[in-house]
Amino acid sequence: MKRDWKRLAPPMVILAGVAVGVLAAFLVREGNPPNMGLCIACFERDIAGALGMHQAAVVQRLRPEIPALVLGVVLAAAFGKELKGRSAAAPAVSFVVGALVMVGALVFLGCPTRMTLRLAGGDLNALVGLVGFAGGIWAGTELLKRGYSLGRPAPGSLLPTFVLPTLAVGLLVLAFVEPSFIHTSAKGPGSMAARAGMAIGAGVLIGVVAQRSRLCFVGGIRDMILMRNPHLLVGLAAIIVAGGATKAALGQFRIGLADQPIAHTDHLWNLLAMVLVGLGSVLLGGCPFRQLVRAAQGDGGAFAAVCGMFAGAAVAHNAGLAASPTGVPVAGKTVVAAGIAICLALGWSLREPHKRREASDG
Amino acid sequence: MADGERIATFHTTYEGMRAARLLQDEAVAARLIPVPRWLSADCSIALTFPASDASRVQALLEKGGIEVRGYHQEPDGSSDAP
Repeated sequence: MKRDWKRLAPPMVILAGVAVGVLAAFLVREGNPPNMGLCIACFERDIAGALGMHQAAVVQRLRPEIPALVLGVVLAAAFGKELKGRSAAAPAVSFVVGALVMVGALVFLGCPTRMTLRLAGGDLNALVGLVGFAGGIWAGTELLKRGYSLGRPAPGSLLPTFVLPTLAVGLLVLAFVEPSFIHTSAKGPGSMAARAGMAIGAGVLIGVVAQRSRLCFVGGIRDMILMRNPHLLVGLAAIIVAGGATKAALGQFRIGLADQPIAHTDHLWNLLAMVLVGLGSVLLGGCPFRQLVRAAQGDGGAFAAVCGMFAGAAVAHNAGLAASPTGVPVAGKTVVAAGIAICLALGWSLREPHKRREASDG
Repeated sequence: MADGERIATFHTTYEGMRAARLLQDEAVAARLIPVPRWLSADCSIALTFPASDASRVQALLEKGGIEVRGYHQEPDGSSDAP
Protein backbone atom coordinates (compact mmCIF):
# COMPACT_ATOMS: atom_id res chain seq x y z
CA MET A 1 0.00 0.00 0.00
CA LYS A 2 1.38 3.32 -1.00
CA ARG A 3 0.19 5.03 2.17
CA ASP A 4 1.82 2.48 4.45
CA TRP A 5 4.62 4.79 5.55
CA LYS A 6 2.03 7.25 6.82
CA ARG A 7 0.53 4.53 8.97
CA LEU A 8 3.90 3.62 10.42
CA ALA A 9 5.27 7.16 10.80
CA PRO A 10 2.34 9.63 10.74
CA PRO A 11 3.62 13.13 9.87
CA MET A 12 1.44 14.65 12.61
CA VAL A 13 3.11 12.50 15.30
CA ILE A 14 6.55 13.51 14.04
CA LEU A 15 5.45 17.16 14.01
CA ALA A 16 4.19 16.83 17.59
CA GLY A 17 7.51 15.31 18.67
CA VAL A 18 9.46 18.10 16.96
CA ALA A 19 7.21 20.72 18.60
CA VAL A 20 7.71 19.25 22.09
CA GLY A 21 11.49 18.87 21.62
CA VAL A 22 12.10 22.34 20.20
CA LEU A 23 9.65 24.26 22.42
CA ALA A 24 10.93 22.55 25.58
CA ALA A 25 14.50 23.62 24.78
CA PHE A 26 13.36 27.21 24.21
CA LEU A 27 11.34 27.18 27.46
CA VAL A 28 14.57 26.25 29.27
CA ARG A 29 16.41 29.07 27.53
CA GLU A 30 13.62 31.43 28.64
CA GLY A 31 13.97 30.38 32.26
CA ASN A 32 12.38 26.97 32.94
CA PRO A 33 14.57 24.56 34.98
CA PRO A 34 17.30 22.71 33.01
CA ASN A 35 16.13 19.65 31.03
CA MET A 36 12.66 20.55 32.35
CA GLY A 37 11.26 22.68 29.56
CA LEU A 38 8.15 20.56 29.91
CA CYS A 39 7.43 17.88 32.50
CA ILE A 40 3.84 16.90 33.16
CA ALA A 41 4.60 15.28 36.53
CA CYS A 42 6.95 18.02 37.78
CA PHE A 43 4.65 20.83 36.70
CA GLU A 44 1.55 19.22 38.21
CA ARG A 45 3.62 18.80 41.39
CA ASP A 46 4.63 22.47 41.23
CA ILE A 47 0.97 23.49 40.84
CA ALA A 48 0.00 21.25 43.77
CA GLY A 49 2.66 23.10 45.77
CA ALA A 50 1.46 26.50 44.59
CA LEU A 51 -2.02 25.64 45.84
CA GLY A 52 -0.59 24.64 49.21
CA MET A 53 -1.23 20.92 48.79
CA HIS A 54 2.38 20.23 49.80
CA GLN A 55 4.99 22.19 51.74
CA ALA A 56 8.20 21.56 49.76
CA ALA A 57 9.31 25.17 49.45
CA VAL A 58 11.54 24.64 46.39
CA VAL A 59 8.88 23.14 44.08
CA GLN A 60 5.90 25.47 44.31
CA ARG A 61 4.81 27.45 41.27
CA LEU A 62 1.60 27.83 39.32
CA ARG A 63 3.01 26.64 35.98
CA PRO A 64 0.85 28.01 33.14
CA GLU A 65 2.04 25.29 30.73
CA ILE A 66 -0.35 22.67 32.19
CA PRO A 67 -3.63 24.68 32.02
CA ALA A 68 -2.55 26.07 28.63
CA LEU A 69 -1.97 22.55 27.32
CA VAL A 70 -5.45 21.55 28.52
CA LEU A 71 -6.97 24.52 26.67
CA GLY A 72 -4.99 23.66 23.51
CA VAL A 73 -6.37 20.12 23.61
CA VAL A 74 -9.92 21.39 24.17
CA LEU A 75 -9.62 23.79 21.22
CA ALA A 76 -8.31 21.08 18.88
CA ALA A 77 -10.84 18.51 20.08
CA ALA A 78 -13.73 20.96 19.75
CA PHE A 79 -12.58 21.85 16.25
CA GLY A 80 -12.42 18.15 15.31
CA LYS A 81 -15.78 17.43 17.03
CA GLU A 82 -13.94 15.06 19.35
CA LEU A 83 -14.97 16.47 22.73
CA LYS A 84 -16.82 13.52 24.21
CA GLY A 85 -18.03 13.06 27.74
CA ARG A 86 -17.20 9.56 28.93
CA SER A 87 -17.67 8.20 32.40
CA ALA A 88 -14.81 6.46 34.17
CA ALA A 89 -15.02 2.67 34.25
CA ALA A 90 -13.06 2.33 37.49
CA PRO A 91 -12.30 5.80 38.87
CA ALA A 92 -10.89 4.57 42.20
CA VAL A 93 -8.37 2.35 40.39
CA SER A 94 -7.41 5.19 38.03
CA PHE A 95 -6.95 7.51 41.02
CA VAL A 96 -4.70 5.08 42.92
CA VAL A 97 -2.62 4.08 39.90
CA GLY A 98 -2.33 7.75 38.88
CA ALA A 99 -0.98 8.56 42.35
CA LEU A 100 1.52 5.68 42.20
CA VAL A 101 2.70 6.73 38.72
CA MET A 102 3.31 10.21 40.14
CA VAL A 103 5.38 8.82 43.03
CA GLY A 104 7.44 6.80 40.52
CA ALA A 105 8.00 9.91 38.40
CA LEU A 106 9.08 11.94 41.44
CA VAL A 107 11.54 9.24 42.52
CA PHE A 108 13.06 9.17 39.02
CA LEU A 109 12.72 12.97 38.81
CA GLY A 110 10.57 13.27 35.73
CA CYS A 111 7.63 11.78 33.88
CA PRO A 112 8.22 10.07 30.50
CA THR A 113 8.13 13.52 28.83
CA ARG A 114 11.01 14.80 30.94
CA MET A 115 12.80 11.44 30.69
CA THR A 116 12.83 11.88 26.90
CA LEU A 117 13.93 15.52 27.20
CA ARG A 118 16.68 14.53 29.68
CA LEU A 119 17.85 11.95 27.15
CA ALA A 120 17.82 14.61 24.42
CA GLY A 121 19.99 16.77 26.69
CA GLY A 122 22.58 13.98 27.09
CA ASP A 123 21.58 12.85 30.62
CA LEU A 124 22.43 9.14 30.50
CA ASN A 125 20.58 8.47 33.78
CA ALA A 126 17.49 8.84 31.61
CA LEU A 127 18.74 5.91 29.53
CA VAL A 128 18.64 3.79 32.70
CA GLY A 129 15.13 5.15 33.28
CA LEU A 130 14.14 4.29 29.72
CA VAL A 131 15.20 0.66 30.21
CA GLY A 132 13.02 0.45 33.33
CA PHE A 133 10.18 2.28 31.58
CA ALA A 134 10.24 -0.20 28.66
CA GLY A 135 10.39 -3.10 31.13
CA GLY A 136 7.34 -1.79 32.98
CA ILE A 137 5.46 -1.37 29.70
CA TRP A 138 6.41 -4.92 28.69
CA ALA A 139 4.99 -6.22 31.99
CA GLY A 140 1.84 -4.17 31.33
CA THR A 141 1.40 -5.66 27.84
CA GLU A 142 1.73 -9.17 29.35
CA LEU A 143 -1.20 -8.25 31.62
CA LEU A 144 -3.14 -6.89 28.61
CA LYS A 145 -2.58 -10.17 26.75
CA ARG A 146 -3.95 -12.03 29.76
CA GLY A 147 -7.15 -10.01 29.75
CA TYR A 148 -6.45 -6.96 31.88
CA SER A 149 -8.96 -4.22 31.28
CA LEU A 150 -9.95 -1.16 33.24
CA GLY A 151 -13.46 -1.78 31.90
CA ARG A 152 -15.58 0.01 29.34
CA PRO A 153 -16.09 3.71 29.70
CA ALA A 154 -19.73 4.62 29.06
CA PRO A 155 -20.65 7.59 26.85
CA GLY A 156 -21.99 10.38 29.02
CA SER A 157 -23.14 13.96 29.03
CA LEU A 158 -21.00 16.69 27.49
CA LEU A 159 -21.31 18.79 30.66
CA PRO A 160 -18.38 17.20 32.56
CA THR A 161 -16.07 18.04 29.63
CA PHE A 162 -16.36 21.70 30.67
CA VAL A 163 -14.99 21.04 34.16
CA LEU A 164 -11.30 20.66 33.29
CA PRO A 165 -11.11 23.66 30.92
CA THR A 166 -12.92 25.76 33.55
CA LEU A 167 -10.35 24.71 36.16
CA ALA A 168 -7.60 25.47 33.64
CA VAL A 169 -8.91 29.01 33.07
CA GLY A 170 -9.17 29.41 36.84
CA LEU A 171 -5.52 28.40 37.29
CA LEU A 172 -4.40 30.85 34.59
CA VAL A 173 -6.34 33.64 36.29
CA LEU A 174 -4.68 32.75 39.62
CA ALA A 175 -1.27 32.71 37.91
CA PHE A 176 -1.80 36.29 36.76
CA VAL A 177 -3.58 37.68 39.83
CA GLU A 178 -1.20 35.92 42.26
CA PRO A 179 -3.39 36.11 45.37
CA SER A 180 -1.56 35.66 48.68
CA PHE A 181 -2.61 32.03 49.14
CA ILE A 182 -0.64 30.98 46.06
CA HIS A 183 2.88 29.83 46.99
CA THR A 184 5.81 30.59 44.69
CA SER A 185 9.29 29.25 45.40
CA ALA A 186 12.03 31.81 46.08
CA LYS A 187 14.76 29.27 45.29
CA GLY A 188 15.13 25.87 43.65
CA PRO A 189 13.43 24.58 40.48
CA GLY A 190 10.16 26.25 41.50
CA SER A 191 11.82 29.65 41.28
CA MET A 192 12.82 29.11 37.63
CA ALA A 193 10.24 29.89 34.98
CA ALA A 194 9.85 31.13 31.45
CA ARG A 195 7.74 34.25 30.92
CA ALA A 196 4.02 33.48 31.26
CA GLY A 197 3.23 34.48 27.66
CA MET A 198 5.80 32.08 26.24
CA ALA A 199 4.72 29.30 28.64
CA ILE A 200 1.07 29.72 27.64
CA GLY A 201 1.85 29.88 23.92
CA ALA A 202 4.00 26.75 24.06
CA GLY A 203 1.42 24.95 26.21
CA VAL A 204 -1.47 25.70 23.84
CA LEU A 205 0.57 24.71 20.78
CA ILE A 206 1.70 21.44 22.36
CA GLY A 207 -1.89 20.74 23.43
CA VAL A 208 -3.14 21.20 19.87
CA VAL A 209 -0.53 18.92 18.26
CA ALA A 210 -0.88 16.38 21.07
CA GLN A 211 -4.63 16.11 20.47
CA ARG A 212 -4.26 15.84 16.71
CA SER A 213 -1.41 13.32 16.87
CA ARG A 214 -2.30 11.17 19.93
CA LEU A 215 1.38 11.44 20.93
CA CYS A 216 1.97 9.10 23.87
CA PHE A 217 5.20 7.95 25.42
CA VAL A 218 3.77 4.71 26.79
CA GLY A 219 1.67 4.04 23.69
CA GLY A 220 4.78 4.30 21.53
CA ILE A 221 6.52 1.41 23.24
CA ARG A 222 3.30 -0.53 23.96
CA ASP A 223 2.21 -0.57 20.31
CA MET A 224 5.72 -1.55 19.22
CA ILE A 225 5.60 -4.55 21.58
CA LEU A 226 1.98 -5.53 20.85
CA MET A 227 1.80 -4.84 17.11
CA ARG A 228 5.34 -4.10 15.92
CA ASN A 229 3.95 -0.72 14.89
CA PRO A 230 6.13 2.36 15.49
CA HIS A 231 3.36 4.90 14.72
CA LEU A 232 3.76 6.64 18.11
CA LEU A 233 7.35 5.68 18.82
CA VAL A 234 8.43 7.97 15.97
CA GLY A 235 7.17 10.86 18.13
CA LEU A 236 9.67 9.98 20.87
CA ALA A 237 12.44 9.68 18.31
CA ALA A 238 11.46 13.09 16.94
CA ILE A 239 11.67 14.62 20.44
CA ILE A 240 15.14 13.18 20.97
CA VAL A 241 16.44 14.26 17.54
CA ALA A 242 14.79 17.70 17.37
CA GLY A 243 15.19 18.35 21.10
CA GLY A 244 18.80 17.19 21.07
CA ALA A 245 19.66 19.37 18.06
CA THR A 246 17.97 22.43 19.57
CA LYS A 247 19.62 21.86 22.95
CA ALA A 248 22.99 21.52 21.24
CA ALA A 249 22.41 24.76 19.32
CA LEU A 250 21.40 26.54 22.56
CA GLY A 251 24.34 25.13 24.52
CA GLN A 252 22.17 22.91 26.74
CA PHE A 253 23.58 19.54 25.61
CA ARG A 254 26.02 17.73 27.89
CA ILE A 255 26.48 13.97 27.77
CA GLY A 256 27.21 11.96 30.91
CA LEU A 257 25.84 10.46 34.13
CA ALA A 258 27.26 12.69 36.85
CA ASP A 259 26.13 16.20 37.76
CA GLN A 260 23.17 16.31 35.40
CA PRO A 261 20.60 18.98 36.29
CA ILE A 262 17.82 17.91 38.67
CA ALA A 263 18.82 14.25 38.46
CA HIS A 264 20.41 11.62 40.71
CA THR A 265 22.64 8.68 39.83
CA ASP A 266 20.97 5.94 41.89
CA HIS A 267 20.67 3.58 38.92
CA LEU A 268 18.63 0.86 40.61
CA TRP A 269 15.94 3.31 41.74
CA ASN A 270 16.00 5.27 38.49
CA LEU A 271 15.25 1.96 36.83
CA LEU A 272 12.60 0.68 39.27
CA ALA A 273 10.85 4.05 39.53
CA MET A 274 10.37 4.04 35.76
CA VAL A 275 9.23 0.40 35.85
CA LEU A 276 6.41 1.67 38.07
CA VAL A 277 5.69 4.60 35.72
CA GLY A 278 5.65 2.31 32.64
CA LEU A 279 3.54 -0.42 34.22
CA GLY A 280 1.08 1.96 35.87
CA SER A 281 0.71 3.96 32.68
CA VAL A 282 -0.18 0.86 30.64
CA LEU A 283 -2.86 0.07 33.23
CA LEU A 284 -4.19 3.64 32.85
CA GLY A 285 -3.96 3.49 29.05
CA GLY A 286 -1.37 6.24 28.64
CA CYS A 287 1.47 8.22 30.19
CA PRO A 288 0.86 11.32 32.38
CA PHE A 289 1.04 13.53 29.24
CA ARG A 290 -1.58 11.43 27.48
CA GLN A 291 -3.79 11.26 30.59
CA LEU A 292 -3.96 15.04 30.60
CA VAL A 293 -4.88 15.08 26.90
CA ARG A 294 -7.56 12.40 27.33
CA ALA A 295 -8.96 14.13 30.40
CA ALA A 296 -9.22 17.38 28.42
CA GLN A 297 -11.11 15.50 25.68
CA GLY A 298 -13.72 14.50 28.26
CA ASP A 299 -12.50 11.10 29.49
CA GLY A 300 -13.61 10.61 33.09
CA GLY A 301 -11.12 7.82 33.77
CA ALA A 302 -8.22 10.02 32.70
CA PHE A 303 -9.64 12.84 34.84
CA ALA A 304 -9.57 10.52 37.87
CA ALA A 305 -5.98 9.57 37.01
CA VAL A 306 -4.94 13.25 36.80
CA CYS A 307 -6.60 13.91 40.19
CA GLY A 308 -4.66 10.92 41.53
CA MET A 309 -1.44 12.42 40.17
CA PHE A 310 -2.03 15.70 42.04
CA ALA A 311 -2.79 13.76 45.22
CA GLY A 312 0.26 11.55 44.66
CA ALA A 313 2.47 14.62 44.19
CA ALA A 314 1.20 16.18 47.42
CA VAL A 315 1.74 12.97 49.41
CA ALA A 316 5.13 12.35 47.79
CA HIS A 317 6.46 15.67 49.07
CA ASN A 318 4.61 15.83 52.39
CA ALA A 319 5.68 12.29 53.32
CA GLY A 320 9.22 12.66 52.01
CA LEU A 321 8.96 10.07 49.21
CA ALA A 322 10.28 12.24 46.38
CA ALA A 323 13.92 12.04 45.34
CA SER A 324 16.28 15.00 45.07
CA PRO A 325 19.64 15.36 43.30
CA THR A 326 21.23 13.98 46.49
CA GLY A 327 19.39 10.67 46.20
CA VAL A 328 16.26 8.65 46.90
CA PRO A 329 14.85 8.46 50.46
CA VAL A 330 14.13 5.00 51.91
CA ALA A 331 10.42 5.87 52.11
CA GLY A 332 10.42 6.61 48.37
CA LYS A 333 12.09 3.28 47.59
CA THR A 334 9.56 1.47 49.76
CA VAL A 335 6.57 3.05 48.02
CA VAL A 336 8.04 2.39 44.54
CA ALA A 337 8.53 -1.30 45.38
CA ALA A 338 5.05 -1.50 46.91
CA GLY A 339 3.63 0.41 43.94
CA ILE A 340 4.99 -2.13 41.46
CA ALA A 341 3.47 -4.95 43.53
CA ILE A 342 0.12 -3.11 43.78
CA CYS A 343 0.01 -2.47 40.01
CA LEU A 344 0.82 -6.11 39.23
CA ALA A 345 -1.87 -7.27 41.67
CA LEU A 346 -4.45 -4.85 40.23
CA GLY A 347 -3.54 -5.87 36.66
CA TRP A 348 -3.88 -9.54 37.54
CA SER A 349 -7.17 -9.21 39.37
CA LEU A 350 -8.81 -6.98 36.76
CA ARG A 351 -8.69 -9.54 33.96
CA GLU A 352 -11.93 -9.93 32.05
CA PRO A 353 -14.40 -12.33 33.68
CA HIS A 354 -14.41 -15.03 31.03
CA LYS A 355 -10.65 -15.15 31.21
CA ARG A 356 -10.89 -15.73 34.94
CA ARG A 357 -13.32 -18.57 34.25
CA GLU A 358 -10.90 -20.08 31.74
CA ALA A 359 -8.16 -19.91 34.32
CA SER A 360 -10.19 -21.59 37.03
CA ASP A 361 -11.25 -24.34 34.58
CA GLY A 362 -7.56 -25.05 34.22
CA MET B 1 -16.08 -1.86 -3.36
CA ALA B 2 -15.34 -5.53 -2.78
CA ASP B 3 -11.58 -5.12 -2.57
CA GLY B 4 -9.49 -3.30 0.00
CA GLU B 5 -9.51 -3.82 3.70
CA ARG B 6 -12.08 -3.56 6.45
CA ILE B 7 -11.46 -2.51 10.02
CA ALA B 8 -13.12 -3.81 13.18
CA THR B 9 -12.94 -1.87 16.44
CA PHE B 10 -13.50 -3.15 19.97
CA HIS B 11 -14.44 -1.89 23.42
CA THR B 12 -11.26 -3.19 25.05
CA THR B 13 -7.74 -4.06 23.93
CA TYR B 14 -8.21 -7.61 25.11
CA GLU B 15 -11.31 -8.17 22.96
CA GLY B 16 -9.28 -7.08 19.94
CA MET B 17 -6.46 -9.45 20.80
CA ARG B 18 -8.91 -12.32 21.31
CA ALA B 19 -10.50 -11.56 17.94
CA ALA B 20 -7.10 -11.56 16.21
CA ARG B 21 -6.18 -14.90 17.75
CA LEU B 22 -9.54 -16.44 16.80
CA LEU B 23 -9.36 -15.24 13.17
CA GLN B 24 -5.74 -16.26 12.74
CA ASP B 25 -6.65 -19.76 14.00
CA GLU B 26 -9.28 -19.85 11.23
CA ALA B 27 -6.65 -18.80 8.65
CA VAL B 28 -8.15 -15.35 8.04
CA ALA B 29 -5.48 -12.81 7.11
CA ALA B 30 -6.31 -10.53 10.04
CA ARG B 31 -3.82 -8.34 11.87
CA LEU B 32 -3.89 -5.93 14.76
CA ILE B 33 -3.34 -2.26 14.04
CA PRO B 34 -3.63 0.90 16.11
CA VAL B 35 -7.08 2.45 15.60
CA PRO B 36 -6.60 4.79 12.61
CA ARG B 37 -6.60 8.47 13.58
CA TRP B 38 -9.51 9.25 11.21
CA LEU B 39 -11.65 6.81 13.16
CA SER B 40 -10.84 7.91 16.68
CA ALA B 41 -8.93 10.25 18.95
CA ASP B 42 -8.31 7.24 21.23
CA CYS B 43 -5.26 5.04 20.99
CA SER B 44 -6.88 1.63 21.31
CA ILE B 45 -6.37 -1.28 18.94
CA ALA B 46 -8.29 -2.42 15.88
CA LEU B 47 -8.26 -5.37 13.54
CA THR B 48 -7.83 -5.18 9.79
CA PHE B 49 -8.84 -7.95 7.38
CA PRO B 50 -9.56 -8.37 3.65
CA ALA B 51 -12.97 -6.99 2.66
CA SER B 52 -13.64 -10.27 0.83
CA ASP B 53 -13.69 -12.05 4.21
CA ALA B 54 -16.13 -9.56 5.77
CA SER B 55 -19.14 -11.83 6.18
CA ARG B 56 -17.03 -14.75 7.39
CA VAL B 57 -15.25 -12.56 9.94
CA GLN B 58 -18.56 -11.25 11.23
CA ALA B 59 -19.91 -14.78 11.62
CA LEU B 60 -16.75 -16.07 13.31
CA LEU B 61 -16.58 -13.22 15.82
CA GLU B 62 -20.27 -13.59 16.61
CA LYS B 63 -19.83 -17.32 17.17
CA GLY B 64 -16.77 -16.65 19.33
CA GLY B 65 -18.80 -14.32 21.54
CA ILE B 66 -16.64 -11.30 20.78
CA GLU B 67 -18.44 -7.99 20.86
CA VAL B 68 -17.39 -5.72 18.02
CA ARG B 69 -17.80 -1.99 18.51
CA GLY B 70 -18.07 -1.32 14.80
CA TYR B 71 -16.97 -2.31 11.30
CA HIS B 72 -15.43 0.34 9.10
CA GLN B 73 -14.12 0.86 5.63
CA GLU B 74 -11.40 3.37 4.95
CA PRO B 75 -12.97 6.23 2.99
CA ASP B 76 -11.36 7.00 -0.38
CA GLY B 77 -8.56 9.50 -0.29
CA SER B 78 -8.36 9.50 3.48
CA SER B 79 -5.24 8.82 5.39
CA ASP B 80 -4.30 8.21 9.00
CA ALA B 81 -2.62 11.56 9.20
CA PRO B 82 -4.80 14.63 9.37
